[in-house]
Amino acid sequence: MNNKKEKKLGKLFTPSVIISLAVLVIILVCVCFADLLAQYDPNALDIGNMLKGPSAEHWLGTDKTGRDIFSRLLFGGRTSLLGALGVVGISIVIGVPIGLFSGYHGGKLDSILMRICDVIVSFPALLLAFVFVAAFGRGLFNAILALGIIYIPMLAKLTRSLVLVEKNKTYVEAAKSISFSDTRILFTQILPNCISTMMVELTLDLGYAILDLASMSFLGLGVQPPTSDWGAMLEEGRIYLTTSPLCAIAPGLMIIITVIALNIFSDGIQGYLDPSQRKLPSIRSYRRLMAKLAAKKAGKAAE
Amino acid sequence: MSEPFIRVEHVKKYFDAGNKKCVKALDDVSLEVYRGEILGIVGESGCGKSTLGRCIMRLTEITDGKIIMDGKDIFSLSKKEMKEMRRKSQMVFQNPYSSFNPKHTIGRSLTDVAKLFGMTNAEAKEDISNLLGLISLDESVLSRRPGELSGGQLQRLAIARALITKPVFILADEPVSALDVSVQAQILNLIFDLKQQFDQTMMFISHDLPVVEHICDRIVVMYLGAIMEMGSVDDIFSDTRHPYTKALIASKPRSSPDEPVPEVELKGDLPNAMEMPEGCRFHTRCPHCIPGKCDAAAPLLKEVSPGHFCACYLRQKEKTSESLPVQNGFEVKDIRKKETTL
Repeated sequence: MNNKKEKKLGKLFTPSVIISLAVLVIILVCVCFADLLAQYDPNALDIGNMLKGPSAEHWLGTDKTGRDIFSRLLFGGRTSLLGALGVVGISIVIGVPIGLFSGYHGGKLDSILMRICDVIVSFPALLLAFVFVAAFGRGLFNAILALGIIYIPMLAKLTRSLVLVEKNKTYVEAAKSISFSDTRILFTQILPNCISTMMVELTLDLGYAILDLASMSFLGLGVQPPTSDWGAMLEEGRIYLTTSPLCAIAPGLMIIITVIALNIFSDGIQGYLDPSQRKLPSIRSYRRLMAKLAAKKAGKAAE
Repeated sequence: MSEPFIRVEHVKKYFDAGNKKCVKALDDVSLEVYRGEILGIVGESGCGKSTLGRCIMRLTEITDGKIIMDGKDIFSLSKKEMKEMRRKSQMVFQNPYSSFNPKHTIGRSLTDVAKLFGMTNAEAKEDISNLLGLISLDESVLSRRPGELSGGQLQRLAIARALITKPVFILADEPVSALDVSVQAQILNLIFDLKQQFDQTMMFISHDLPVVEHICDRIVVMYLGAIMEMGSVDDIFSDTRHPYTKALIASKPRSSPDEPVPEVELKGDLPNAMEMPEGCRFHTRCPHCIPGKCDAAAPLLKEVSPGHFCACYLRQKEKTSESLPVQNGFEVKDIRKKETTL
């Protein structure tokens, strides 16, 4: 049995997954221990040292008010990642139960809930977030709340479709015939069998949430100064792109690296969970196939 | 005969198929399951056997009729009463591979059931180890997940799970059809033991006639959602009345070439359940169909001899030994003739 498990894990940890996981862990560790790693207070002004390039004192230089970019990156990661977690968290807490109940019970409530979800999905996500923020006021918390609400329908729909598949399986019927309650069937029988697929969607969502939060902060609707955040830093550094490009490039790179790592990681899990979605055949195997076909054709022609 | 444990009274189950059409999965089915007997339900795929089972377990609502279990109409029971009723009646499903939650260990699946019905941990443990002895499996299976076990093991465990609550009645919905033949025997022997040891009341849904003949006391033959013939095993197999039953029996594999060749052979598929044939539902495939009678009004299920019911105009009066006139349009195929000409 142990052997079996090791084999399974071996398939999950392909090089790309290992690298992306390593990158994510490094980022997480750096962000968690920002207090220890940062040499400067992220909000300490130093007007004499503004817009300096990289040096021994300031590894990535300083921004327009002389704040250390490296320190701000570390603390900014905290806001960005926690914000993204908050967004995904809100969508899980509300979206998963909605999906579970509407998938399991079906009927009118299901149709109504799903039509509402359709309406929310049909708007561009950020536009809707702007409306929310306009209604409730700017700020990180409101931005997270707005994005969280916008992420609910996607997760609810995914959960619903998974439940629709699972609820017709015999073990659910067996649980019913044993007289387990509906709630119990949903949470102890069906949900555990959906979680693995949901994990894929959630890691992807996390990447999107980082991006969307950054866009909101970039537009000044999310994080308010002086709090550091990757999106906000990008916006502040934008003006100095020609003179001191690191101000904008550093937070931009962090966003890109994190999102890409998350995507590769979720791809890896997906491939592990669903063998039918494994990689496309390589170009070489495709060429071989074509060569074979050509040979066959030639053979037929010769006949 | 003793008091019936289950009485199915004029049950109808229609599925809405859109376009104001409906599929009549069960059309006025009435039957009884007596305590201590194994009732076999046979019929082709799509004849409503499994739907009947699901109705009896209240896994689906019925359109009309009544199902009375232990003196109570199960569709009027409250949740609490239904739970008590479910303790008395358990089900074993067709596909053993998916009848356990793939994420839970077998041990958890079994103890969950025991605990639901108020057993303590210790009681549950003892009960389960006793049951494992009964189904001759090792305790080590308890720590496994369904994916690590074979179909035969899982089906035996499914039977054990059904037995945890000490049910009066077990419904087995084609419990062996997903298993290969060598494993089928194990399961059938287990069911046979249950009958011998505990006098277990059972309903055994199957399309395998030899199996049904082997383990059942009474048999119900269904066709397109209605009962064609019902009676004891002897009645059905040696005093076959209905042409459909006859054709079913004829279709069972012969064990030697010297066995008599079947008189009739069924041709074609089941008619579309949405457009049920007028009159007797079997007349489109019946070799003895009387034009003007069989396709006009459906024959009722009538008692032809004590405890033996049949729904056919021809067989209700005549003796079975006489061979019946075959109506035009149907040729009686003799396989042996063909073989000899070859």
